[in-house]
Amino acid sequence: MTVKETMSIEDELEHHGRVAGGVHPGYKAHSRARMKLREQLRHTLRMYRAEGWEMPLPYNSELTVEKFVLGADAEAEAVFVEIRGKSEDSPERYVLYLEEGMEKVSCEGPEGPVEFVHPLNMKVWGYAATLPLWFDWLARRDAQNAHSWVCTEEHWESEDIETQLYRVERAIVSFDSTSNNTANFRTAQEFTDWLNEAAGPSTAQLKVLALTDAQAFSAGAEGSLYCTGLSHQAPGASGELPGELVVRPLEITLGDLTQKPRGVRSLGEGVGDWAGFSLVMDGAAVEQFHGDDMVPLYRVQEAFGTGEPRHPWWGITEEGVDSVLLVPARKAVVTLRYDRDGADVWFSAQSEDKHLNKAWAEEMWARRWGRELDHTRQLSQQEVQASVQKAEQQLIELHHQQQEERKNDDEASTGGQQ
Amino acid sequence: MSTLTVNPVKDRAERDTGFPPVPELGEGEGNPRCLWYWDVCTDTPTKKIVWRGKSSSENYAETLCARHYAVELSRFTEVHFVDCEGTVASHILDFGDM
Repeated sequence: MTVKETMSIEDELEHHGRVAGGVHPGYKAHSRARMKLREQLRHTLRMYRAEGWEMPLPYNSELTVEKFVLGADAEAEAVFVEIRGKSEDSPERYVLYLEEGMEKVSCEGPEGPVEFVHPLNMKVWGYAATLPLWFDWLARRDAQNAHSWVCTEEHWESEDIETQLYRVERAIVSFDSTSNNTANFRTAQEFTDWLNEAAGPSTAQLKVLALTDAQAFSAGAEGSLYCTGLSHQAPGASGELPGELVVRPLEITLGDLTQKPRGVRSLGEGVGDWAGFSLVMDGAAVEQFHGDDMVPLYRVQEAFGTGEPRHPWWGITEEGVDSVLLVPARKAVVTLRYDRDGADVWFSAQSEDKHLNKAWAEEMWARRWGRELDHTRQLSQQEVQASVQKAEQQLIELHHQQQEERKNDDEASTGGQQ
Repeated sequence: MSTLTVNPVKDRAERDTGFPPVPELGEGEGNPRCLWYWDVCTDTPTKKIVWRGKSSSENYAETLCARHYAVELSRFTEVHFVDCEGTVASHILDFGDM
């Protein structure tokens, strides 16, 4: 079945409704049910698009609610949609199966059933998602496919010596940033493989360990695990200066280690919702290393295995660096970023909720400013000028708003004393 | 009460940003190219954002072409404050034409 074989309700009535001066009663009931379903479908999508989240479509997407078409023989609740494909002359066709109304919908594409990955927290959901989430997924894919008509995913035009030298002379390097959800990894090896793939051309050899013995971890440093990190304290609060290198106990408890982690925050108060380390590579060797909130590996080595974790934590380390960072095995988003063709590497872990807030803001911003961000698109001087004005105006408004809030706070705090 | 800034030299009297006056700074380390780093931009910078450093010697002027200046400013306004308790004024000292 292709989209071309499907018809809109209007077409169907036009073609069949008036056959022999009457309408088959069964057909009428079928049509009504279909009409109702279609209305329900469009209502759900419009709610989501217009009133629900007031969110812009992904930049350059041409997907509309009207492009969702019911199958002509749709006794089964199947919806068809066609989006732009990787090349201009080959659109991609998808079928959505409404298994339980609009809430549990599965999607089949040109390469079979599609596994839904949440675009913001990277969690693999399996094959069912809500209809609005599939709409957004298809809208993104439509935009990405169309983008690939004019821009390849290749970093460079060529890898020959001449172009390599051109890049060296101009300090043009490759960089990338990839995120994943720790809940997606079953074994330490799976996680390790993903990290090293995400590190691209880097010579860093990141390794993931699975926490298998919480007691051994806790006992490894006699209950007082030390880590180094940069001070986050306000000046004067504890004698530390912000940015000063400090050593403090990792405040994780045996309970945190054996039970559900409270996100990255479980590591300790100083950690907040973010933990990570950075590396500077010199060939295959680590030239510089800086890690916050890490534990000397030699003291806790016995606590880790290589398969599945027995407790909900992973340990992340780098070959030749005797430090390990604990990362929750659930509800954490990890990011691997590299720059300078892989010479600089950053690993970080963030609580899923915190990551989600930021990722949402980032995604909405990218949709609103997609035209300006699209380097394949020429903008006129007037368009650029309008963008500049808009950006400056937003900043100034936010500044005034913050000043107003501060003024109100000051008045509220001095009001009590008068 | 906000501090009003009027810079007659750059004729910015019409735009009351409320930012405190700042010393003249070097423009983006003298780089002749737009400092946008998400993709290669070979345009000449015409705009600047002066970011506040930890000390005045660490203040930094990011120099960009007009298009990427708009993008960078908007990202700061729309994304940065999701997880930052600072303010516009605690990050930016000045912005606009170079």
